[in-house]
Amino acid sequence: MGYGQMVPSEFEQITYLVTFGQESNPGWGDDDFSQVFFFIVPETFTKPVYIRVYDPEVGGQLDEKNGEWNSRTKFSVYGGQGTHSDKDAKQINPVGNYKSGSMLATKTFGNESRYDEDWYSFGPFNPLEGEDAPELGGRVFKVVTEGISGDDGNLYKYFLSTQPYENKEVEGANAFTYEYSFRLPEAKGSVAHLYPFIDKRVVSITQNNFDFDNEGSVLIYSISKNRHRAVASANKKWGRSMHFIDDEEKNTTVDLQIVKGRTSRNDMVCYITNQYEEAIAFFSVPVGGPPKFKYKVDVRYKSEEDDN
Amino acid sequence: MKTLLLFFQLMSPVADTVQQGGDYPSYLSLQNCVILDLGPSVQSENKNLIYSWDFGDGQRKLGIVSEHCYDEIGDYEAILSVTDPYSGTHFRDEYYVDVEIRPSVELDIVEESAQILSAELSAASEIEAARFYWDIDGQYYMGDQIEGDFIKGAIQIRLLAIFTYRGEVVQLSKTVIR
Repeated sequence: MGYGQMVPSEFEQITYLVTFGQESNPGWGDDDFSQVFFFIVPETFTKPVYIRVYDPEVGGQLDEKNGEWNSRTKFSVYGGQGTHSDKDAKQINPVGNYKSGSMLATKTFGNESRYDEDWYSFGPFNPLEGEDAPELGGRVFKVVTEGISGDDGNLYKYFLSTQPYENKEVEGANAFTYEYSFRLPEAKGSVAHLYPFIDKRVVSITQNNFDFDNEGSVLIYSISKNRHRAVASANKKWGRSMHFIDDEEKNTTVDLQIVKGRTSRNDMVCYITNQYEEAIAFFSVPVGGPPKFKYKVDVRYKSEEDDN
Repeated sequence: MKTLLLFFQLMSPVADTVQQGGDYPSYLSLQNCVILDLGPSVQSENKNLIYSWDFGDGQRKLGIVSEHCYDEIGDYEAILSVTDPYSGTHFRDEYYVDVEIRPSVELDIVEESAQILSAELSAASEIEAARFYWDIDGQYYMGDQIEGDFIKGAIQIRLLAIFTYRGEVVQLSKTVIR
C-alpha cells in the first residue's frame, strides 16, 4: 500500500496536475480547462476522509503565469448516486451531466498567498457519501476542477487523507481519471507513466495525446509490448494511434510512457479509448502493479553450426 | 529479477583452452562463447529500439543478437538495457541472464591422506584411455593413485594427465607447491 494517495502518484512520475484558465491558449497544454478525478475509498474503510489539494491557488511559485495573475480555479467535490455511474461522468470532455452526483463542497481560488505551496482540505466526508461502486471495490468521490477565468495555469496535486491537516493515507484507496492534464517532468530523459487498466472486453486502444510539442516519444509498454511507438503530438495538436490488445494484456495494466527528448517545461493532455470509443481510466496506483515486459531471450553457447 | 540459467553443455572440442599455469592447462574449456538472441522478443513495433548487453566482464555489445566470448572461467550476469533512439532515453536493467562459463574437463589432485594422492578428472564418463604421470620433487610415478611416505614431505607435486576426449588426445597438468 502507500503511494496511491498522492495524485499524481510516485508511480506516475508526473510533476503536477494542470488546469488552465478559460481564456488560455490551448497551445499552452490544456484542451478544455477542466479536469475530473475520482477517488475510491475501499468498502471496508468507515472513518472520515479528506480530499486535500496542494497549491490550489493560481499565483506564487509553482503556477504558470501569463502576464499578470488573473485566473481563478474552482474545485468541487461530488458524491452520491451518479457521481461515477452517470455516463457523462465517464467522458473525456466536460459536457452534459459530467458534474453528476451531489455537490458536497466547493471552493474557488485566485491569486492568494495563503495556499501557495500549501494544502487546502475538503471534508470531512463520510465514506458513505461516496457513490457505491462495487465494480471498483469501494465508494467513489469526484473532484471537478475548472479554470473558470483568466489565462494562467494552475499546477496542483491531490491527497486522499484520513486527516485534515496532514497527509495520512487511506489504506487500499486509489484514484483515476479519464482524461489527464498534467505537467511533465522537465529533465531530458525523464519518463512519465500513465496506467490505464485494460479489461477483458478491450481488443484495441486508441491513445490520444495533446500538445506534447513532439518533444520525445510516446511509448506503449506492457507485458507483451516493449515500448511500441505511439504517435506523439505537435504543439496545439492531437496525436492519435490505435494499438491492438493481445490476449495476455487483458485484465492487466498498460503503461503509457511519455519520454522527454529534451529539457523543457511542458504541459499536456492524454486519454485512451477502447474499440467502442469508450474512455479507459488511468489509475494513479496501477491495478495489479506496473507491468513488466516478458522478454523471451534465446540463450545458448556458440557451436560450430553458428560459424557456418 | 528474471534469471535464465545457462547450464554447461558439452559440444565438440575446440581449441579454446585456458592456461592456468604450467606447461599444460589444468582444464579444458570447450565453450566460452555465448549468444544472446532477443529475436523472440522483438516485434516490428519495437525493432528500432537499441538493445545493449553488458556481459558482466566489462564488455558491452549492441544488437538484437549479441555474441560474446569470455576470457575467464566464472559466473557472470549479463544485463540488458534498451535505448529509445527518438528521445535518446536509456532504460537500464531490463533483463538479466546468468551465464556460467565452466571448464568441461578439469584435472585435480585429491589428497586422500598424508600418504595417498589421487588424480581426478571431471567428466570422467566422457574420457578414455587416461594415463597419469606424477613428478614428486623430481621422482616419477605412474597411476591414478600413488601411495607412500614420500608424499608426506613432498614440496612440489606435478601431475600430468594424457587422455582421449571425444576422439581428441588431450593433455592437462596441475602443479601444487606446498
